[in-house]
Amino acid sequence: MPKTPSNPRPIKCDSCSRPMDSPVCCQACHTLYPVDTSEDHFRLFGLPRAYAIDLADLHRRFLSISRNIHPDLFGAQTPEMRALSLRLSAQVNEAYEILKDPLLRAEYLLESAGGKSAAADKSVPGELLAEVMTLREDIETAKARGDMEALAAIRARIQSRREAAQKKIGALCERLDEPSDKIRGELRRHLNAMKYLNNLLSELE
Amino acid sequence: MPSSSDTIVGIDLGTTHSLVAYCDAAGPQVIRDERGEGRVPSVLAFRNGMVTIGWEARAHAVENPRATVFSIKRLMGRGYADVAEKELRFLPYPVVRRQAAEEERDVAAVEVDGRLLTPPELSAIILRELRQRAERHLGHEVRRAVITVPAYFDDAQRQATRDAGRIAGLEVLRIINEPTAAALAYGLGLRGRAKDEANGATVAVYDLGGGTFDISVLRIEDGVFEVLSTHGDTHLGGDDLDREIIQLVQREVREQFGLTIDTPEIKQALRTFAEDVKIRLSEREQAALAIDLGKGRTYERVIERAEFERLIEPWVEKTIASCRQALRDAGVGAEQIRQAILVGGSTRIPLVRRRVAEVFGRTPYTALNPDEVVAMGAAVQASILGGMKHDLLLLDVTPLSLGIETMGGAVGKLILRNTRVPCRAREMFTTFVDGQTNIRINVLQGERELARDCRSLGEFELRGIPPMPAGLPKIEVTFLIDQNGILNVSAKELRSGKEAGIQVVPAHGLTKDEVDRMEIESYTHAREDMTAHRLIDLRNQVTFDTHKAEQALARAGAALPAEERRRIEAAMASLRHLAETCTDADELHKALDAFGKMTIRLAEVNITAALKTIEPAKEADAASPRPAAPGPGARSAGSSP
Repeated sequence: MPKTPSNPRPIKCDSCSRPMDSPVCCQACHTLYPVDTSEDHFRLFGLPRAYAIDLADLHRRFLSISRNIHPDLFGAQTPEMRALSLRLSAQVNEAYEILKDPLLRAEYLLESAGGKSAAADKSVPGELLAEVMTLREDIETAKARGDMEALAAIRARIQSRREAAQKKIGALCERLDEPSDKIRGELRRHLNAMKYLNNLLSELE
Repeated sequence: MPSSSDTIVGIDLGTTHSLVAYCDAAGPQVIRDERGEGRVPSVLAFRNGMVTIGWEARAHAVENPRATVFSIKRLMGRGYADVAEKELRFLPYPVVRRQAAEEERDVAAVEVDGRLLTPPELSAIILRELRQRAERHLGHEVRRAVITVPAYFDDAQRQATRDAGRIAGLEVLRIINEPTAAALAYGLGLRGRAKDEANGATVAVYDLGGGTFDISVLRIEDGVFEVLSTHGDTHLGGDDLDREIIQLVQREVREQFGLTIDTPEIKQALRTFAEDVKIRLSEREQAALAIDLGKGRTYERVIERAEFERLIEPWVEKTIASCRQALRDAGVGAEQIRQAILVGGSTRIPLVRRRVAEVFGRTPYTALNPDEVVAMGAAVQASILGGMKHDLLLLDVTPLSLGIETMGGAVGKLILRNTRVPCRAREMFTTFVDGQTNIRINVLQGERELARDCRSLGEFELRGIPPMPAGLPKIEVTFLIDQNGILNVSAKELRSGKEAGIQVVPAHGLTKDEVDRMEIESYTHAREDMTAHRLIDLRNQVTFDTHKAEQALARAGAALPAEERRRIEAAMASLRHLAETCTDADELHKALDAFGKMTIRLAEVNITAALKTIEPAKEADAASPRPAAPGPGARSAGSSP
């Protein structure tokens, strides 16, 4: 388990007083709660705000919540309940898509901690641009020659570069609760770098 | 018989066939006709203000080509321009562009028997027939339904399907995707070890129907059917394979005889021939075809299976490319697919089975009835919605990316394809001119980068924006795709907190008012159709009854008093006259009943006379006499000695 200072507070269902895994619904008595649309994504799943996440556990939680809130389960209920289950499902689905993807998860952690969006801060780590240019030239040369071996080698280079960026991103995410612009700025740059590397990879496909 | 008096039915509204099913304690049941046939051909024949549906309409398609409507599903949610380009040359019935108040709106309609009917109205006639079939079987009114659509249907096609349900007087509780429905029926049908093995498995559903193709990749776990990705083509199916044969024949007839065969009659006949050849080639290595071209000319041809496979290969390869895309989008390799499930009549084609086996590296799963499994899945989903099954859940995705047109005709993507539904996206808009109070947003679906290459769902016009300097209003628009894959848009001006009104002009669809009006018209027409149908039945009965009375009078009339004979003759003449002129079915029914009553005595003497004529010839059989020709009233007199 990731160490974290922001473990979610335990919550109880208003109707049956049993503890709830998610603030959205009570899995025991199937009551829905109209949580705010801006509710923290991690909290929706009863998880601490942390970059490290157990994907199988997240998926289990997602299915368990879906079994309680999906609109198909409210077909016979009032229009208000149907609308609520629709809204909550959309919210939980969106949160799930973000949390299961490492890049989106880190982006979310950064922006919800007051960091800048990619559009607002396009800076990248100093050495990256030159590196990407070299890689791109190498790709073109290898493609022109039809040199599959060289392409595979380039792919491996990009992958190892991504892994390094991923590690830095993970480490920086764990320090986001320090009120430091320096950490947020650095995280932003590494996330931007990741996008460049991902684009390069898709060019290789 | 289900105990509930309010069964929700599941309907597969197919390109070539449609079915209705429901769920009872024993599981999903397809509702069949007296011959045990569950399929109703999705064919409508119009004649003299009447419509016939299904097998009969299909049987007479060649005699009545311009008024026999088939493959309506291919026109659902499409504009005339689109239909004219891709479909029109294959359709013997006339399709026109429907007049609309808004010039940018383009809705196709079929002109038939003096009426102009939109695809949802035509589909509604089929839905109404299925509804009546279900009502007869269940013994109670059916008002609610789940209807299936191809997974790759866009918003307009889904809306058109929902509109069709409403026009047929059905509350469409849910639109579900056909491959997902098939997976549901597959998962539910597994027992014992197969069921345990399927748990946690990833499966692919390959659904090649009459007009559409879908591939969906799903994970099945503890009763949750989670769609990972879907891909397809809403204009690729058995129809397109038939058309390859049609075009081959047309080309060869032109070459051999210098004839162009494309009249509505010939188009319709060729369709039947081509379909027949295609079906035969699934069983045999070759199929022969002969067409009488008149003046002693006959086109004869033997088509080998290999030749047919060459013709349809490009189509099959398109489906295979879709399979690969769906696997990529799901992030799974072909080797991870535990089962490749075949659905849809066109998966009987050997080439299709071979190619699917090659792509997924395993023999496809063909144990399901490819024609019925979708309707069964729809019935299962209906029972989930009805609260009968709490242990099952479908989690589906949206097949196409949703975007808005941005400056310069580009597309700004808001929701990517294969995103789980329900899903939402929010986008901020503002004004360009001081005091501007409305904003138009062109909403698009598709994967292309330019707006003109995507499908426009229509113009959403935000109204009632408080007048402010340009750029000051902040309007938050929420795009929400619901569990049916249908888009809902709402907007809010954040500075004033006012909900902005949204006026939607559907690009290829119907407005709510139009659907409401069509529902009423359809109901009236259905009653008229029913009345017309009843009148025809009654007229036939009059012909039959009066003819029999005439025969009885000739044979046994002498046994009656002259006065009674004259009364019967007069009644016969006036009944015949009434049958020709009367349009009130109730009145004719009463007159027919009265005639039956006044001829009871005649029927009795007729049977006595008939027995007399039989007895001398068949003395041995005298113990079990049968009237040679039962006259009117013979049924009621059947027990007399």
